[in-house]
Amino acid sequence: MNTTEVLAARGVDLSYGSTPAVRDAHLSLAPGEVTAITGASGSGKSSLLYCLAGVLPPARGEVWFEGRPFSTLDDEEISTLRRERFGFVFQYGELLPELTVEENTALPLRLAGRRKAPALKAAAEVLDRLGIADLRERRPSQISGGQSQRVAVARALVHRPSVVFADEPTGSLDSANAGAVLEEFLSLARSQGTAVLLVTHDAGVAARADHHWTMADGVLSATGAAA
Amino acid sequence: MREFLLGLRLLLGSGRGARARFWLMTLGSSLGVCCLALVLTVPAILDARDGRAGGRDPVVFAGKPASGRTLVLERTDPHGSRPFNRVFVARGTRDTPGPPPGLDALPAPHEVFVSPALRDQLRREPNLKGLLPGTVRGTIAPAGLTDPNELYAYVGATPSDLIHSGATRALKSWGSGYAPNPAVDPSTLDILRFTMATLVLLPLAVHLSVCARLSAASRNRRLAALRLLGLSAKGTQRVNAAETVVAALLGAVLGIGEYWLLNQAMARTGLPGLKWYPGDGVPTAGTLALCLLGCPALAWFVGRASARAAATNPLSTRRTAIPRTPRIWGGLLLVTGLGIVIGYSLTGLTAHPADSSGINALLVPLGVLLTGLGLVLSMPLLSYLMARRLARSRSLTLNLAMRRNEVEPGSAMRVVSGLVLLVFSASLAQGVLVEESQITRSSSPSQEYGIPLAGLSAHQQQQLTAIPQLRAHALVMEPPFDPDAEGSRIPARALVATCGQLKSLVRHVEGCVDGKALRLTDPAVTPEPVAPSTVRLRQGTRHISLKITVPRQRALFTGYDVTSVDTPVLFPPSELPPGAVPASGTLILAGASDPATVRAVLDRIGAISPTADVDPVGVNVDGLQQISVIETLLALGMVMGLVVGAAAFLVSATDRAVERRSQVTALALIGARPRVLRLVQCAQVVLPLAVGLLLALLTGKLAETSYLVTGGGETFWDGAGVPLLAAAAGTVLLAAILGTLPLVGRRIDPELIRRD
Ligand SMILES: Nc1ncnc2c1ncn2[C@@H]1O[C@H](COP(=O)(O)OP(=O)(O)O)[C@@H](O)[C@H]1O
Ligand SMILES: [Mg+2]
Repeated sequence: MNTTEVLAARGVDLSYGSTPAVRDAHLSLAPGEVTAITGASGSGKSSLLYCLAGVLPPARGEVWFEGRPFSTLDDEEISTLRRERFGFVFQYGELLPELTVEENTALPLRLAGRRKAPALKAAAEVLDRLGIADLRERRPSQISGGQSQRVAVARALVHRPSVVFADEPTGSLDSANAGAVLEEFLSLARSQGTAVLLVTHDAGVAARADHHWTMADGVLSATGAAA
Repeated sequence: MREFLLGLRLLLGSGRGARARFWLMTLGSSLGVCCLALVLTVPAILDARDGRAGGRDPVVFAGKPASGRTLVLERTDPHGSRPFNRVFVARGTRDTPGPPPGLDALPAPHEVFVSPALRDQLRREPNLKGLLPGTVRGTIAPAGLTDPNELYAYVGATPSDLIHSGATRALKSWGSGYAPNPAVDPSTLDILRFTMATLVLLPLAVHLSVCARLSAASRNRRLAALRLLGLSAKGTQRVNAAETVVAALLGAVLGIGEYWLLNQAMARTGLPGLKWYPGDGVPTAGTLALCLLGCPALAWFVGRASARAAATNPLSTRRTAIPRTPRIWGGLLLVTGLGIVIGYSLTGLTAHPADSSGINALLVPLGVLLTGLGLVLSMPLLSYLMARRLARSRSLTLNLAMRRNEVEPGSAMRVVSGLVLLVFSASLAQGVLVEESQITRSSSPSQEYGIPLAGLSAHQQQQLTAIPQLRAHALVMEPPFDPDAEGSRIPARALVATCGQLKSLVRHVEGCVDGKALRLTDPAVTPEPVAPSTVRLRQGTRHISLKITVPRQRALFTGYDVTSVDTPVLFPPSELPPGAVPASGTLILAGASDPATVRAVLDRIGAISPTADVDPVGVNVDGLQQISVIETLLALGMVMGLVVGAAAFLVSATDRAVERRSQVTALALIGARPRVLRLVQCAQVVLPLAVGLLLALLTGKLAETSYLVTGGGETFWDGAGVPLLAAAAGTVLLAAILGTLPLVGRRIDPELIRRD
């Protein structure tokens, strides 16, 4: 297992002031596999996710990316990691309203310094694979919620990251839409060999993952592999 | 009412963001109200000065003073650009009036009472003492002074000191009820009010309306939710207005407090050319009412108007961020206005510049107005076109920034317009100043001083001509006034001077021969018909007459712009009977025209002859004083406009940054460097602002030129103000850049990503 893990947490503790949010979490993500964490609201899922993404530093323990501990990387290096190797899907998409769908999608490539034309071409390909190529020129306010979540997925995958962090990615959608978006998201990620950390309070969503963990009061425990 | 309370309930119960917005609104409007109070109080400050000036103005009996009455003689000299007033008083034996305001008793002979500012000036410039014969016995109280900076003195004298001056009058009482020299002419005051209004009130209105509609997007979402819950459209608007009105009211009260502090501070430090007593700056009831009611009223209307879209069509609030081409007619106004303005400016290049007669009197203001209005109205269009052009650039920063401008020409754009208008009107205001100072300040390199010979002893005359700063001196002999003289021909006056003296009094002389009376003509001036005359001379104690004929032989000369060398006859001193001096006429002294020399010469003249009525030819002391007041007020207006404009800008930029926190955090999370985010933030506001300010400078200067061309002065292209304006515009830009920088933090806070 150790040879195939891309991201790993060992004994991670996290607290806000004196309130502990995550206690002694051990977790590892493998390329092309989906890991889901479920749990009640406030149980510490988001905290753990941002800790694994290098945004919140752990109070104790260590997070490793491709064998390198985060504690040895400076802020600039972690930013570069997030820009080039990580992807994010947020609950409300957080697309920039003034950019077109295509520009939103190309953003990670542009931030990484890619030229405009190749970046837009790559974006168009991902949008095409998600079946929303015809929305390229629209703005986020001109498309539906399900469509904008697909754009958010496209943005998270366009630069073929090693890990995608998804915090309630379908939390803002109805169940039919949520199912479809999640299906496309996970299959595209798997085909790219991207590891996905999926955080949700919806057990139905977690059922599609390769590994399933549960979180309660900051304590992470394995539920075993999903069916 | 119910909706109003609901609005308050929502305000109190809402989260950190809403409370931050409330305080931003409150502090923003308080700053605006503070400036408003100051602008509205300026006329009251000027009135208070003029009131006290009127209250001490001597009321005199007409004609020659009867014996035994109290005598008064007023003298005003320029001290730099400030008038220095001296009132000589000789106490009489009957009907003695009471003391003037600010003194306890009429000064006794050789007692001097000075204003506190003059007392300080005497310490710095002991030479001034010559103008005040006597001993300083005390200071004049504020009730007798226009402002703490005034140079004013009461000088006690004996009747015999004063009686020989023609200007001495018998004093009836103090206080004529109106000011002899108002701080600012009523006609200038109107222009000033208008300029101040555009400089301050317009940015102020923009600022207040920006404050009243902060966080439009998140607020609209909330209002739309209320509407969907069944609140009526009107009710929804009222809910929104509740918050803005409470903020504005609180802001108004705070603003008055800020003004009170400002008044105390400014009355102590003063402004160049304008100082006032703290009591003068107390806002009137009307001002207070306008501030306390006007600001919330404006907020009420803006609050209701800004909620209209959300209230009438709640489903539309999501559909923002679609670029819409702004209307084109602002651009048409700008082009029309600029056409007119450029047309008039171009006539300034030709031999026949347009004047202000007929249709021009209408077209020039129209062109200026259209240019200013068009400039503001076409700012969104210009910004939109520029954004669309630049958004397609290959740079990510420009792409992000300009896409934002494309869809949101909203509040930031209004702020930009306010600042742009400010620069525009400031350059126009400079035109007014240039015009004004052309009238008041002579541009001649030579300054002449005319002193009536009556009342000057031979010894004093000798001392005066020996003042070291002077370049030349001469006498003008005048025939006594003769009521029987024929009307069409003027009895000849003569300049008593050698060719050398004449040369140093004028620019250029041709054909002068010493020892001979000559006909003096200036080729640029059509000569008036002159008749021979008889002047009276004093030879020791004897009076003799001298006949002056109009000679044939001519000497040509070109005088300075403002000069008293305009006599038709040049009379050589050697031809005067030995020891004889003219009994009536003027001693003319000439020196350099720089303010320091002028002041030094006036001090020396005063020391030699304290009561002499010196005429600094061409210098209008009251005009100079007015210019410095006007300059100060305009500068004050501009500073306030800039402060208000920059505040509006910061308030709106902060607000937008708060609104966009989640998106910016998302950007930071996916790896955007803080540097990129800052650059985007900067480019987004600075580019349209820079373009706008540059345009405002250009069009403002053009408008100024068209005004100056038709004003008929000599300066058409006033470049002197450009560095100042450019510096002001640069300051605004810099403030804008600095203001946007802290809006992007270094630390990423995932809390700011929206969750449920
Ligand atoms: N910025 C914060 N400051 C203080 N406490 C926080 C903060 N963010 C989260 N918490 C607390 O930490 C715990 C875990 O929160 P979170 O990770 O958001 O849980 P989840 O994502 O499972 O809903 C909760 O009790 C929450 O109240
Ligand atoms: Mg969460």
